[in-house]
Amino acid sequence: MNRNRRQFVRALSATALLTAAAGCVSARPSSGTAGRVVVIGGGFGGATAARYLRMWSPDIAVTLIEPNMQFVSCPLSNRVLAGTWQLADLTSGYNGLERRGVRLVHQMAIDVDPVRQVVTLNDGQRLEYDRLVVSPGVELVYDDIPGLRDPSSRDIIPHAWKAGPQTALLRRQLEDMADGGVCAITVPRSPYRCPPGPYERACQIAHYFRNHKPRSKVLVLDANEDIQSKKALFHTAWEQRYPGIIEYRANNGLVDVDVATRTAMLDFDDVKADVLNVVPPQRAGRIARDAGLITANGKWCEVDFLTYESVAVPNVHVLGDAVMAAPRMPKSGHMANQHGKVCAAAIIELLHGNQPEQSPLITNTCYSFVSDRDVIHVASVHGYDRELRTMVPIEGAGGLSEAANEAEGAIAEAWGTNIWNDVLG
Amino acid sequence: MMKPGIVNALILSPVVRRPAALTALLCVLLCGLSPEGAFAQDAQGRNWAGACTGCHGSEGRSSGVIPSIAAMDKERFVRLMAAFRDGTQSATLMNQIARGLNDAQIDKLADYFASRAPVGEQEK
Repeated sequence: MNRNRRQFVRALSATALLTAAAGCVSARPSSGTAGRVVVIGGGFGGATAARYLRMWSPDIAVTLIEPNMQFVSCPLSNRVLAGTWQLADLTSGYNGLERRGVRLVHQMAIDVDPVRQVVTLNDGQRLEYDRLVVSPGVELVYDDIPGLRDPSSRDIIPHAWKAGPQTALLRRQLEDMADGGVCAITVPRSPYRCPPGPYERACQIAHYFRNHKPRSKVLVLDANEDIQSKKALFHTAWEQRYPGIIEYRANNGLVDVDVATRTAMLDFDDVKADVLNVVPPQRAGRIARDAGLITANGKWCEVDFLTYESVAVPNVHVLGDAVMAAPRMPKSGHMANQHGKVCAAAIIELLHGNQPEQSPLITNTCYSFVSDRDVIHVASVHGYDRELRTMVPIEGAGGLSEAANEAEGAIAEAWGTNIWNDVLG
Repeated sequence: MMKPGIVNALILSPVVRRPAALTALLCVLLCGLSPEGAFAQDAQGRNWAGACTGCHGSEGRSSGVIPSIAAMDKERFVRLMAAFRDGTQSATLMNQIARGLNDAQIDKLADYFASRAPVGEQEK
């Protein structure tokens, strides 16, 4: 703790006592700390918030609720489908956070009581909080795909949109597929997690096919009117690197699936595939809905972008993909990491009775592999617009790679190592 | 408004003999805002640096081909960012990022990263 900070905390403690009589609101220390923060979800958003709360304010007690014992990165996981990487290359434990004093609880949060400020876990534990951070990622929504409502159907038609066993399953299906087969990928309407992800996935599968099953095809069935991110760069990559392998069909919304025949029923026709990868529509993770945090389109959580506090539930902050995004703010791991840091800084100020940062600065950097080595990026810088009260892209900043290149392949790998460390280290 | 009696009580109180602490108290009582502007200012460079550390590593300590910026000399940081911004220094994407930062932000980021321990040293 620096000198100013120490002085300030001491001054504030004295203030708390003296102002109580004068009827002023003061910070409320609890259990000998500046406050208790519970974080639900140990992905890019939640783990970053937990880590930075402890790094920047060791007087805050932080508990992270995450059912999985290990973190598996979605970013870069399409490389597993090409066989370039293994899931182990994307997997880390949470011990770095524990070393920083974050208390890890490997349970599922099943209820939030916003009045008593208590989170209930599936083992019955109840955790009180002064501030709650909800970073649940996305829930995959099968309501409008009747054939896939039964979860066991997704062992045949994987989504592979949450890295882990589903990624391994899709890889196995690609390996088992005979040469000359068709792998179809369906893309939901935007917004969904990782806008360039489906198109990178097409590249990764096509790369594998070109080298191992050259008569096979990748069919991208997109519910949108065009590629949703890095459009020209993906079109170029497909034309130059995978002619005759990748076929792209815009405006092909998925209506249903026949699981037995791996047939995608689309708005206008049916497509039978040998491997069918349905990326379903998405909304904020379930606990966000149960906690009353979803306020936009029945799908996403609106927040104050200075603090990431919910507009609906006081003292509850929402991060990452679950947030109703600001203009041109993608649902990406990188962006969730940015949310986590801004939110941690804001919570620290709030718990100490200070005003949060009024001019947050965030960036997004997103790398897509178009082969085993060559990469394209999109980058942006975002600042806070006081009139619009939202984050906006800074004019003149940001942009794309000029062309796919190997230099950025190495940079993308370094990005992975660095951001995982920034989230978990 | 506060009653004069309360102000006198505060001035006489042993916990507020230091003028800085008194200012802090008055600011909290009158505005309900941060009594320690300096703390918020210090935190700003740290907060903004969060925009850099996703790629350059926590506190600017990087692994792999992305350069570490922890412990970078302030003048060098400012010079490099200016060069990225005006295009005299080319990069894969730093030109695009640097064009989103103003001089005040670059100055604070430079101070923050200059104060960080370099790669290989114990984190502060």
